[in-house]
Amino acid sequence: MLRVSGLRKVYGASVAVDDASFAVERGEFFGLLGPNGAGKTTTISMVVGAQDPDRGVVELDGTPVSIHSHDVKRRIGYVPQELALYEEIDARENLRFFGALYGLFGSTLTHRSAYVLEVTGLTDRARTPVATYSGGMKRRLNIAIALLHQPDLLVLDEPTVGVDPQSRNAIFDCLDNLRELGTTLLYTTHYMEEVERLCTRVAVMDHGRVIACDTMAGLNRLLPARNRVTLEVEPEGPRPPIGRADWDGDSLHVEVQDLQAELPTLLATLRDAGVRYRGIRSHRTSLEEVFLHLTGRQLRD
Amino acid sequence: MADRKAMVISFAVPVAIASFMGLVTGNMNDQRPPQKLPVLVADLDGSPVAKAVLERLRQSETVAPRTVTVEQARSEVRSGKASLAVVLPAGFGSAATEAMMGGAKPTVPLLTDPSKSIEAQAVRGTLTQAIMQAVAQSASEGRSNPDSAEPRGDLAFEAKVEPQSAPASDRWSGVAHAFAGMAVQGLLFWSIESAMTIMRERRLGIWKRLRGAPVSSGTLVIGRLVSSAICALTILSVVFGSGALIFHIRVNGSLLGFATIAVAAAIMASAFGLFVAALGKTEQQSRGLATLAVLTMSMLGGAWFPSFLMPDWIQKMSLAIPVRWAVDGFDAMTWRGGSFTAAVPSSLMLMGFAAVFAAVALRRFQYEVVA
Repeated sequence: MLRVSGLRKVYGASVAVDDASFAVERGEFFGLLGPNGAGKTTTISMVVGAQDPDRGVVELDGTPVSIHSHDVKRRIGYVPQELALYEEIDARENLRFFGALYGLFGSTLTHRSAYVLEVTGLTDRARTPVATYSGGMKRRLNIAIALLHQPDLLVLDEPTVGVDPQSRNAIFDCLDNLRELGTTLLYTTHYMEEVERLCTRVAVMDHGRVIACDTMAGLNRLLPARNRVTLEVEPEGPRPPIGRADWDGDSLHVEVQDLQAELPTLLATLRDAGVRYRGIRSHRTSLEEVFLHLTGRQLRD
Repeated sequence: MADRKAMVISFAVPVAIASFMGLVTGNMNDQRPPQKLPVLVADLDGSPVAKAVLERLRQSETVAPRTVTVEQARSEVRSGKASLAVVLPAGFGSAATEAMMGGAKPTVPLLTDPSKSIEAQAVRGTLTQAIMQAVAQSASEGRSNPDSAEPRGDLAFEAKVEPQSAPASDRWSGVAHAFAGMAVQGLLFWSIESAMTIMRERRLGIWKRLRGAPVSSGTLVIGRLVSSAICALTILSVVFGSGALIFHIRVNGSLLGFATIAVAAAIMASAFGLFVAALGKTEQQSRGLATLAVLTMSMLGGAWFPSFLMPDWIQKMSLAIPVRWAVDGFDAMTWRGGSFTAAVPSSLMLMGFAAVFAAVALRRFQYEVVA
């Protein structure tokens, strides 16, 4: 549905986006992950037609997206990173103003306003000035405005920044509903857990480039091991060298691809060496580790 | 100290205002020769006496005469280009010479600008002297009989002062001018607020959302222009309305002309706001610079003191400032009582300034960085 090919954007001497390419399928919940300054927002601004790239093309169902392509823009809903709201007026008036930009008037606008307020849980506060809203409510109104014209593609740029966990979950539920209704979503964030919870496929951006693009399972396969096992051993006991395992005091860390196949062998080896363990835990590799493997940096560096 | 530009402006504004005040009020010890005051002469006589009057005026150190037709004289005095014009009627030379010897005095119309009474008095003094000297010369050359009557000692002509302004007022209205000046200044301060609104929207991400919407940059700019101009027109209505209620300021000229200038001034102010928003980077920095610009334009454009009080070079320079055209236009339609035609130059110039400001703003908005 959405194809981004070879995007490049330069601001002065700084290359914000450098040959970025990815594709989003219809009905997909696609994540764009990267640290601050990776080029996500600049990429998004070109995807929604707020500015044109210096090179490359953005296409929605084969139609180029640019600052002049008004017909295509009517199919895209954009949730900016900032709270792009008029706080002096209430939610209904905000919806009326922004709805007019998409050609919504009269009863159509009224019905759509009621719907998006319902979907985002703001019906009861519709006539209250936005300045009185909590941060989470403002974020939801930010999303409501983007849904007003029933877009085929909803683009959200870090929509949960500064939001409390409860409101964040409310936003996630709202987005899950939209996905079930068939809306295609492009979601940027620098929070690993959001991508892991929401997205079916992820593009990882760093320094303006897309360095990986795959499903979560596919990205995890980039790592040499999918599982990290940690055994807590008895303090007074042998510490024999074991394969790729690392000893750290009373803990033994080892990475395995297949728990089912490799763990019994490991435990048997330890038993034969006279090592007694008190506890065992394992965790699957996360996107954080994928990012570290790809870039050599933590996501929050 | 965190905002150096604001600090600089804090020093620059008082210096600029004080410098301007000094220029307008003048330097008492200034040794430079005063600039000559213009006087228009419509010579319907063409006699040697009339020519002699003109020659004496040319030799004067206080006035700079210029020969015009009667219609030109009326037009230029009414529009403020000269404070006084003299019409030497047909037969003036012979009639004044006879009057010198006791005959009937000819009537000499003096067309004056009520707003420049002091200047007109100075010019009239020099003019009277020139006429009397020329007539006396003619009278003495024509005396062939030593027993003829001695020349009279008073003036050899009757001056008929004709103020060139609306019939309803025979003197300049400082109140009308003050309201015009402050209304225009108010418009420009409104334009700064309008610019700050756009910059705040840019900071809040609203501008980014607007750019992502299916509307062109042109539509966004024109929308801003129109909405801001409507507010500016409201300001003008309130200010002039107050002037009408409290000080009985009236549109003594063309009402259509006044409305045309008001609309043009409102559009110009609105476009200036867009211009400030397009060029500015931050609200704090832009507000300071824009305030300095507005105060400077107001000072130099005649919003505080009438432009005719200023040195000649400032008067010429002020023609490049929209405030000058707006204030002159409102003056023309209020106390000067001008027709719609008198409103056209100001209106066209104000729309021209608006076009330039809007064109720069549109170009900057089209290519601005959004992310």
